[in-house]
Amino acid sequence: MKRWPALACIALAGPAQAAIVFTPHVSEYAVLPRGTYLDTTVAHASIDRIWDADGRKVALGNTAIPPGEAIDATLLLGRYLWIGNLFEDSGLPFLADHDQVLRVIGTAGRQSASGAINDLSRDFGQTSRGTGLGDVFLLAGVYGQQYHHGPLHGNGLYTLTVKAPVGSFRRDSLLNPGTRYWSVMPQLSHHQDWFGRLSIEATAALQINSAASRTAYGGLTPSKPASVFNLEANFAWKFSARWYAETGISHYRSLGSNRYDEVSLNRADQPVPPTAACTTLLVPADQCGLLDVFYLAPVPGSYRDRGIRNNIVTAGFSYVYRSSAVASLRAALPVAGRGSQFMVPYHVCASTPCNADSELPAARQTARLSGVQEAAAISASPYFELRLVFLLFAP
Amino acid sequence: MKCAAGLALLLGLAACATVGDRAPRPHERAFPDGFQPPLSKATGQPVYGWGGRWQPPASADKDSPSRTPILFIHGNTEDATYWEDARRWFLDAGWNDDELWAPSYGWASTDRFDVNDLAAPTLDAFVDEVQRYLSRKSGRPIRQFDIVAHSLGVTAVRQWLTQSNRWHQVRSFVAVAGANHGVWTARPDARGPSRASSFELHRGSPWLAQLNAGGEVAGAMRTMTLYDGTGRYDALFPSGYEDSPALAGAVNVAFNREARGWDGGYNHLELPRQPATLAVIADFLRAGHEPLPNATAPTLVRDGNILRAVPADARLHCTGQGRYPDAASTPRVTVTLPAGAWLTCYAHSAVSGLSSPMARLAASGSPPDPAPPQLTASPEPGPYAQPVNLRLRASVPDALIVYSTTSGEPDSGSALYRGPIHLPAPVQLTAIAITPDGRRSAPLRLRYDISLAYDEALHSLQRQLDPDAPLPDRDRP
Repeated sequence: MKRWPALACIALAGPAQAAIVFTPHVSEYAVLPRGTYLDTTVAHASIDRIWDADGRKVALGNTAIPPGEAIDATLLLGRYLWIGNLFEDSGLPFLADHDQVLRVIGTAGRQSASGAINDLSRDFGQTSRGTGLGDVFLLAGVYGQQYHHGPLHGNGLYTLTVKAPVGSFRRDSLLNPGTRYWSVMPQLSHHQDWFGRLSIEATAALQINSAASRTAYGGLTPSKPASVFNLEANFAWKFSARWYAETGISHYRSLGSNRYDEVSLNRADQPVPPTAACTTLLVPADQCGLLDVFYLAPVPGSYRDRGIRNNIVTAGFSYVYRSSAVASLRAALPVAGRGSQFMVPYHVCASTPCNADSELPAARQTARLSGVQEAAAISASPYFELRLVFLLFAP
Repeated sequence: MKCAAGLALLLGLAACATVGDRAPRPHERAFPDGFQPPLSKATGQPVYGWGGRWQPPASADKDSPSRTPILFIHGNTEDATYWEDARRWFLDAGWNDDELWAPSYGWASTDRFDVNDLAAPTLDAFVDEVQRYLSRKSGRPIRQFDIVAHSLGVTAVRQWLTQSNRWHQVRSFVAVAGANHGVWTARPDARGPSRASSFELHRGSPWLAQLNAGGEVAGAMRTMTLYDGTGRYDALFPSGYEDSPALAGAVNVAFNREARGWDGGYNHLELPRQPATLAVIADFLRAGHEPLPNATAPTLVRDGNILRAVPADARLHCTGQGRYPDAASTPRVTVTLPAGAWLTCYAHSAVSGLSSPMARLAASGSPPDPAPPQLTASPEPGPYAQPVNLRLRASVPDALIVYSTTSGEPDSGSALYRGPIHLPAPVQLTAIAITPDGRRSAPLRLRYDISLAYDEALHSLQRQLDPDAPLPDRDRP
């Protein structure tokens, strides 16, 4: 028998594209030669596990979906980078002698879910597919002072990124390449080089999110995503002029809670037969026997989760081709995390519309819902990343 | 200076600082009145850069410069402001404004890379102008310079010296991280805006072979190289290339390898701009013999097949087989020119510190044909999409062929034609043939536009669709 009231177990995931966008590579924050760079990154994850609100790894859909089901997400990032100095003839302090960085990042995603996940979404009148262009990120920054102390030398990079929520977005979709909230991300980054062999990139970023103009998947994307703090470091060892190996760590956590003001996720096929209602919704026996059908509806309100967090370790290598192209292959493994989950009470009613006026006495049920998409769901599955960088000016 | 108060307030700037305190800016010709910046061969515009007492008040010191002026030559895609740290350091170390000069000879952009063959004639014109300006200002001839060059600036200076035969005008040359034997990032099959410098500077390039063929140092010029040497800090010279910047016959300082050890090292852009390396550079320059201000430069005097130097304290330095004599060559009072072979010689006075230009000479017999030799070239001048190997041929078999890609007329000490000349970049070349008895051909002036634009025109979409689409004019002068 299909267990439709897996209401309490809607625990799915979308790729956290922001984390992929900013996880640094070799010399990501180093002072690079002026010029134009293009790079493209393909990240792929087969997500079959996520972190729940208690930091446990749980299967997608929890018990509502049989083992082996997964969401396949492929994210494509195209980045244009310009390094130069717009102010070099201006005489402006600091800016005149520190190069600037401008970057435009376009994203696209192809995401699909396996059969049982699609079925589950359909039960709630939703879809599980999301393919299209994602949001656009615009970054501007300036390099800090270069310094040299004995065997180490380095520099800072101070940037501000704005995410424009222009990606494709469907209100009924579990997986959207785009979002519907703006983000502003001040970021402090640092590059350090030790003995000409070990390259360290470190960054701290704050992602300040606006309220979402729309939510998706029955209101399971936050209507007010929490701001997010991101701390990352990458260590690369230079074996030769062509080969690098690298490993990194990433810590990503929300500052406060995500807020959900538009929760409307509900079973598409209503009314609910009494057998299911009585056994799973624990409708009192006297009411079960009296009624033929039951209706469900989430209690309107503003719900909050306990915030999200994610710790990832990465490992990979890079190869420099012709001095004008760099190929990097990297695997990322989440090692700890916490996803967005929150409790939502549901009216259980004998008639429609189902609301406080029509609900059955003592029959209200509370479901544990999981937030979805990048501001809420935290994948516990590894992902793989292939990155190609092109220096347009190099030989 | 008038203070832009509103702007300063708005931007929180030190816009009221005196002009004298500020650094030259990239697109600024920070030169004194009376200095005429020459045209850059790369940009076609007067060169940017800095030098002399460009900030008011103008220098009234008639004795300035009191020491050999330094020319700072930047590397690829950089400009003269690259040397700002060095300029301040040398000012603090006692040099004055008149003694410090730096041109921006190229585009300062990775969209249009610099090229040695285009930089060399620009440097030639810039040195001429600094010499003219300082000589007029001080009322005495300024005959020598020190040069501190970095990266592509090193090979550009060496090419300029080879082409212009002005070795005698450089007292000391500091070559920092130059691709004298190739650079890792350059490739013979390069494409795009960096291709010309890449053709010049890849390992084993015919262009570098030409540059190094006569010896890696020449004349009385003191030469020091300064570079990483570890293969780690300078990304352009990794393992396998770590000693590429060294020059045979020079004082070679693998700075990071020798001096830094566990204290780390400096990268490509840091090497000539750190106090530690600037101190090494300054010590090397200070150790040079300051030329006597009013002394007469030595000359070579030929009496039949006997060569001697004037004045009497000057000595001859000669070598054969097309190699350049240098300070290590045995000094002689007289040299007898051999029959059937050419010697390359210069005269140097240890007293005045001055030298003659380089000259090539051979014993002369009776000319079988008193007519001047003829010189021919192939392929024909014009635009070419790919590098050209230029063949020159003299009508007299034992004639010497010399050429120059700088603006001056070649003389016997100019670049020696040793075989087909590899031209990877646009050049304007003048060649002459000289017979052992001194007869000279008429100058052969050739212009080859080894052009990325031409290459792109050949492969344009329009030409793919219409093979008869017009190409750039092959017959232009």
